[in-house]
Order: sequence, then structure tokens, then C-alpha cells
Amino acid sequence: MSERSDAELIREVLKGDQASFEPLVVKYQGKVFATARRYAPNPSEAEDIVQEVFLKAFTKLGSFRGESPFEHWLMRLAVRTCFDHLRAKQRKKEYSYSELNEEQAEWLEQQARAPELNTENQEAVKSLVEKILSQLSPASRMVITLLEIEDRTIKEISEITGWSLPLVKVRAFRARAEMKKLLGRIAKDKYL
Amino acid sequence: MNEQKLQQIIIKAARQITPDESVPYAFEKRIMQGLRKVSEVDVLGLWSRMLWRAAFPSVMVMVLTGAWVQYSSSEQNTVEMDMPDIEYAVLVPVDLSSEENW
Repeated sequence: MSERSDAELIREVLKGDQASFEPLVVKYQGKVFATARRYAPNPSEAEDIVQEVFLKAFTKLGSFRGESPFEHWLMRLAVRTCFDHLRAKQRKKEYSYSELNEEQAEWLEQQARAPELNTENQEAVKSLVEKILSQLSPASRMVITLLEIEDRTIKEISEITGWSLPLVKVRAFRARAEMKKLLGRIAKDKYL
Repeated sequence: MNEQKLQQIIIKAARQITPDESVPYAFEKRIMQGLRKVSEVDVLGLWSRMLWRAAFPSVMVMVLTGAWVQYSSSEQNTVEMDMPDIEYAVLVPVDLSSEENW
């Protein structure tokens, strides 16, 4: 039996065949997980986000007009869900400034001495990046991730997040300033 | 180290972290299970939502009906209380004349 296309599966789901949604989940769950892990390094948080993304996708499938690929629509939903998650987390005040641990500080010092990136200690790098990004506001983290890390354009960010172009520019400016301020605090730290 | 250099290091490091696309075992089953729960019609929830929505219009209807009944009954009372007075005033000459005739 030939593999059904996304459009065929979506049509079946909209007709009431819930089981046709499963192949879509299987096909795209890896990519949704990758996006969720960028904003939620905790495995259970990432799982909750992915589940929420697919639940939203299922309930809002009727609004998918098929003008762009299903994957793009789903990834937009994933990024927006991650943003909601960051905001909810901020409301619970889970963010707090914390100093770098010895391993992270050592890695940074090493980077300062030798510009060649040492990727040996991947876990330290990951936790360092997460520690810094987690101290940014949700909007700043979102913009820095999309603009600087994923290397997306302002227009792409606008399409993904649903923010207007001027709003993305303003948020990018604020995010860079916030990042600079945060890194200034770290630079003044005794380890550096 | 200044902030600029620190930022470059952090961004460069973040770019080198490859997004992990691994999926927990049978995760799609968990999602499909969640979808089934969503699709089940919550009759009690639906009923309570409908009751809440109907509460305000019901109270408004009750208040308006009460006001209307109050207004109309007070109008009726006024008429009832005035009737003997009118009757008395109208019939007094008749009564007097009939007494004289006797």
C-alpha cells in the first residue's frame, strides 16, 4: 500500500477518521521535539509541549488551508506553543540568576584563550547556553533563538511567530540589549 | 573578556548544538490516547457550561417579569381603590334625590 500524502491524511482526519492523524504524528514528532527542546531542555517539559502541539494541531486542523506545506503550519504552531510555555514558566517565576559552575566557567575561559571552539564537553556547552538563554525574557529568548541561532530572517520570524515586522525588529533590538546586559553581568563575574 | 566576545562565543556554541530529534518510545500512542480523551463528549461539562451561559439571561428575564408584575399590580390597585370614591361621588346626588322623593 502506497504511503498517503499529508493532504490525503488531513482530508481523512477532517472527515472524522481520527486514526489518520497518527501517521502525521509519526512523521513530524521528531522535528517538533527538536523545536521543543530548544526552549525546554527538561525532557518531561519537552514531552508536554509536543503533546500540546499535536492536540492543538488536531483541534485546529480545520483552519489549515493547505496554502503552505503542513510541516510549516505545524512548526509555526510548535514555536507559538513554546512561546506560551516560556511565558507560563516566567509567570511561575522559575527563572533566577545563577552563577556559572566551575565546568562552564572553565570552558568559557578556554574559549577566550583559544578561539577554536572546543566541542569536547558538549554537556557543559549545552548547559551553559541553556543557563544564559533561560535568563532572558520569553520574547527575547524566542528572537535570539530564531534570529541568531537558527539564522532566520526577520520576515521568517514574523511569519512563524505571528508578530508584525516592526514588532520583530523592536523585540530583536531589545533582545540584543538584554543579552548584552546579562553577559555584562557574567563578564564581571570573578571567574572571568 | 567583553560582552561582545562573550556573546559571539555563546551564539557560536549554541549554533553548534544540533537539535535532538529523538522521540521517546511509542510517543505517538500517548498522543493518540490524548486525542481520544479530547474527542470524547463531556456531557456534564457541556451541561454545566450551558447552565452558566443561561444564568444571566434567566436572571434578567426574572427581574423584568418581576418588575412588570409589580408595576401592573400596583396600577390595578390604584384603580380598585379609586372606584368606590368615584362611585360614591357619582351616586350621591341620586341617593339624595331618591331620599327626598320618599
